[in-house]
Amino acid sequence: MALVRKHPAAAPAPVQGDPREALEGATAAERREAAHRLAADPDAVDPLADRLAREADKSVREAILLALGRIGTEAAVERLFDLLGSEDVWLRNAAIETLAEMDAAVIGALDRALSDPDSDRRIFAVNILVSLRHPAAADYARRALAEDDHVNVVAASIDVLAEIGTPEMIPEIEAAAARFPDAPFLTYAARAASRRIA
Amino acid sequence: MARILVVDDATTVRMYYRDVLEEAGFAVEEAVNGFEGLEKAVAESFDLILVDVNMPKMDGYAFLRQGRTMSELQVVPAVMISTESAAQDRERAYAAGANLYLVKPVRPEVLTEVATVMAGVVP
Repeated sequence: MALVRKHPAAAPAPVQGDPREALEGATAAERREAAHRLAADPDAVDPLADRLAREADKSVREAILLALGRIGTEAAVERLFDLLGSEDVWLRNAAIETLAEMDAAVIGALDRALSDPDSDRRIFAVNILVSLRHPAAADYARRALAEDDHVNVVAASIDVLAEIGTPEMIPEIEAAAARFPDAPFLTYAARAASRRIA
Repeated sequence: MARILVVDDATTVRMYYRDVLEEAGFAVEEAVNGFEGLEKAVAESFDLILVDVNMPKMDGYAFLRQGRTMSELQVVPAVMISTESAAQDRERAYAAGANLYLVKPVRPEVLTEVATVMAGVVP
């Protein structure tokens, strides 16, 4: 006679509860798990980004950034771009690295980022371009190169074009450096970039 | 010959510092982020460190804060060189352990003069 189990063995307990609530939980493990679950929810951008702004645990921060990157919507990109103005250098750099992995999703937000009144934010936005695997990345760098009036934004653009530029961009790079005759570094950077892409 | 460690993620910036400083007679070693900078600073001896702020993996502030707790880096002069010119950036650099704060781009003659004075040795 076959044995019939009157009480089937207990299956592993599924994670219960609303991950939005768990994101505010008492333990880092709870919040980290919630961030992982919310990575599949495109409507979770705001609770994730709001939590990130006050989260102290590095592993939870990393999980939230990963989740925002996976969600990858325009809203996620906007909230990540907001972090470029953070006083928290780790968070700022982590946002740059996350955005750089998001490729096409980032392109739509670059117009605003490259027009930001804060030159440091514009530099961070330009720095993202080098890692974007998108055909428009070089065009955005060229725009900053030609139009931005801050020496360090132009320097960052030259650095980007040294990596992703093509030989026909050399005159634009040289013209940009010539706009700043009192900055020998730009002349140096333009020559270095031209040598690399020639 | 005085030895300088340059910690910056931008290739062109590292090349520029190297060319200017080697022309002035210094020996230059490079690191691309704070982690690599700490590794090199522990493994070798330097007379001066030039460090950027915004770098992936480990930023300049974290590099200085950790470095200042290590016997190899406690007294090595460090110059933080950043694109950020706000007063709070300067204060944060000094709080992290910088001895001097410069805003990019740095003119070659300034770089050479700072290196000569800060390294405290003839190149």
